[in-house]
Amino acid sequence: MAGRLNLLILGFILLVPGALHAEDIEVQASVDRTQVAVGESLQLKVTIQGGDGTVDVSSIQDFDIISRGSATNIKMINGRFSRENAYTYVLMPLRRGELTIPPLPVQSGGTVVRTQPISVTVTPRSEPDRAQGRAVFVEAVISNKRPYEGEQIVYSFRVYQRVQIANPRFQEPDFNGFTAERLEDQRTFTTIVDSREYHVIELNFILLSLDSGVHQIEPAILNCDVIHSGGRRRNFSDPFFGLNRGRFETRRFATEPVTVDVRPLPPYHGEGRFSGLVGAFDIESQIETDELKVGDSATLSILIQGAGNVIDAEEPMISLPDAFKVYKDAPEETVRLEPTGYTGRKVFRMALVPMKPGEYQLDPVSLVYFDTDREDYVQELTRPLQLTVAPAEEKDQLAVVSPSPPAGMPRKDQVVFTGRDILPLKEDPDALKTRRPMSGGWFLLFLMIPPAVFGLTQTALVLSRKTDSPSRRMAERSEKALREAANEAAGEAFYACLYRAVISAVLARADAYGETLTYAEVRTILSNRGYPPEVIENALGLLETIESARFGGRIMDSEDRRSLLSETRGLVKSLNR
Amino acid sequence: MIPSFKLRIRRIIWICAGVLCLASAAHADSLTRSFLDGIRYYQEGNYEQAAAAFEKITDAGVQNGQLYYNLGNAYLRSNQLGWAILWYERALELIPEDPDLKFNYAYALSRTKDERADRGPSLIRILFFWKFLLNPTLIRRIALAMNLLFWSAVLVRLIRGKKVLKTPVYILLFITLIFTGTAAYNYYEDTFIREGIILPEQASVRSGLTEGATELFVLHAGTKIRVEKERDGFIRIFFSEGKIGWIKKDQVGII
Repeated sequence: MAGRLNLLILGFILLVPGALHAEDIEVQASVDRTQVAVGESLQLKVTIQGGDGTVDVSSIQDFDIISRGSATNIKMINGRFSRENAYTYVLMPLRRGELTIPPLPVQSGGTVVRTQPISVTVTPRSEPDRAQGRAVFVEAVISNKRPYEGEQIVYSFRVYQRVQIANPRFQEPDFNGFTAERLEDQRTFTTIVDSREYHVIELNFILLSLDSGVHQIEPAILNCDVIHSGGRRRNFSDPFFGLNRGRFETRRFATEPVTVDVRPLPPYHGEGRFSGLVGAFDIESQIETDELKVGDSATLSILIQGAGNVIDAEEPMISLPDAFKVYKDAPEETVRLEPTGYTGRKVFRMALVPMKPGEYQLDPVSLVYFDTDREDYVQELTRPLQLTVAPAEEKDQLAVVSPSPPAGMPRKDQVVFTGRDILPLKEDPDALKTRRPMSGGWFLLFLMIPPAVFGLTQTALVLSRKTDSPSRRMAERSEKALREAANEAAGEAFYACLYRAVISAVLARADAYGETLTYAEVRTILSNRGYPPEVIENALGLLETIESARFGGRIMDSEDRRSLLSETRGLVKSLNR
Repeated sequence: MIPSFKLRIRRIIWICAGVLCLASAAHADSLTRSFLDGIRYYQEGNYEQAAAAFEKITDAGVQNGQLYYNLGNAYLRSNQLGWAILWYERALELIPEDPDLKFNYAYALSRTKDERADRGPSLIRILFFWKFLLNPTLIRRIALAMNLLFWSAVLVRLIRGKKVLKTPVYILLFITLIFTGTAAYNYYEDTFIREGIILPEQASVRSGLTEGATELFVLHAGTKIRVEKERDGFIRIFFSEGKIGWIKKDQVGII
């Protein structure tokens, strides 16, 4: 039974693609409605009958595609399989008027089929005001529409809702002309608008203007799904919002643009140096001890704190008596982002080391900032500080600055940056010459040089070894002996040459040096090298003839000698083959 | 007297050579002037003019790490962080060990807003630590030196007999293969993997190839991204795992 079922499934798998492929592709585009208001969405569905394909929606210019999905259906009608792929897009019109969804190319295999164009009428919003009771709306509020340059303001984006929303996607504006920092915590509260209770979500941004002038903050956008309780879902089934019971409507809400007129700071004519701070600040000074000895150190702290651009605070001007040496620390800053903006403190610390005894007064330290409430410059002063410096107990301690250095060891401090900047330009005219890194080709070439050298060396070695081999040397010797025999007129020397020629030729085959061989050795060598028996016998016979002529006193005329020489040449030649 | 044909040809060749020499000298003079202008503008605080003067030289085809470094400085001073980091990155490819460049580049990076995607240690970074620890130029040099040593050792073995230097030859072969492979991969990266820098203060990365496509995330000036493909004036970028999207082409400077 199970085997049959498996066969059926296998048959289905094998047959379905073929049956589907046999169909022609049909493409259709449809929308759930052809008239929408600004801020409302519509759904576009591209259906591909009889196959799959890729839909190119890049030509849709008048709408923002805010979500997409796809679904596949396989049906069997009259014994034939039919496949339908549906691609669904949620579109948000970007302007009002008569808009067109252009023909969309659908590529399937090698063919491209286009959908028909669809016209959509986008009308202005039908809800005229809040009095008619919108379920959801948004607004942008600025804490101060005419701030001063450098003054921090709060931009609030609020979502008012009487119904539930889902999948919110917030798109914040660019805040051109400001630095913007979003507060992490969002505020939620309930409020009454036009006698209706709304639940409100508020997102806040702290803005700091970069320059003066009129700046427009573009609308903030919220795309979300508004859930209407009860009721039916829209025209066709929506694959995105699956299991929820309520009716979903994808909506886009935009705030009105906000205009901010950033005023320049008025000219400053007061005494003291303007610190560049804008907001509300105060300054305090404190010294670790007001009685110390020459060579001892006391830490002077200048604290600037308040609300505003405290992070930009620079070290105030401090005038100190010449009798003091000053060692400054890196400033310490603690800045928090609060619902009203940046607040915090910056502390400038320095170690004062008196070099002479006496009574000293440290002048008040001034801080001039622009007070945004008073709309004027304000000068704050620290209280004057008194210092009594007693003579050192031991003069040799004068040079000691650190509080408690180990005996005989200078104190070592970690070197920290006291300022940040970049290093200067390179002025060498060499900068005008092109200097590229090594190319891949050159790298490969350099890489190949050592193996090439190795290969050449190895070849040379092999060749030189071959030249020096016994086989070659003995073959040369055999040739030489034959030449000498040809030049010898008569006598024992002639036969000696022939003997040397034959023996050397045989030894060349054995790749060994030597002067003489027995008949048995000649036979062994030649038979081991695979020579035929007639050659071996010929060699042995020739050797015997030469030796008997050489040592037996056999008289040979010139004809016989020529014949013997020719026979020896033939043997050497056959051995060399 | 009419000069012979050969003489005329020779004269024309000499005139052409002279004209070429003069043109080349004039070109070199113009580049030097731009370079000196750039330095002067920079010292006077006219950083944008300084950058323009240095860019004239790069437009003429000069590729030099020191020049790119100067361009990075000029853009950094004129608060164009994206362009500054782009030129520092280009300089790093030519003079990766320059201490001034490394210092200024680190300073510029400290001013970027987006956290770098490759900050954490990954398995690849641990396994192939030398690739990330050493710059490509050094890796190439080590590969060539190791290759030379390896073949020298093999040659010594060949000449002196096969029983010497067996272990050193295997060690050298291993190191040579490692560094040659790394150098080859670096060439592959240079040729086929394109990276870019975000140029404007902030740039929206969208889901599609239109201005109206959904904004997926925002990148800021100086952030390094990988360029995957180009289409219709947009570039598909990869920032980190799961963070990909389309961005307008003119908002990215290719390194």
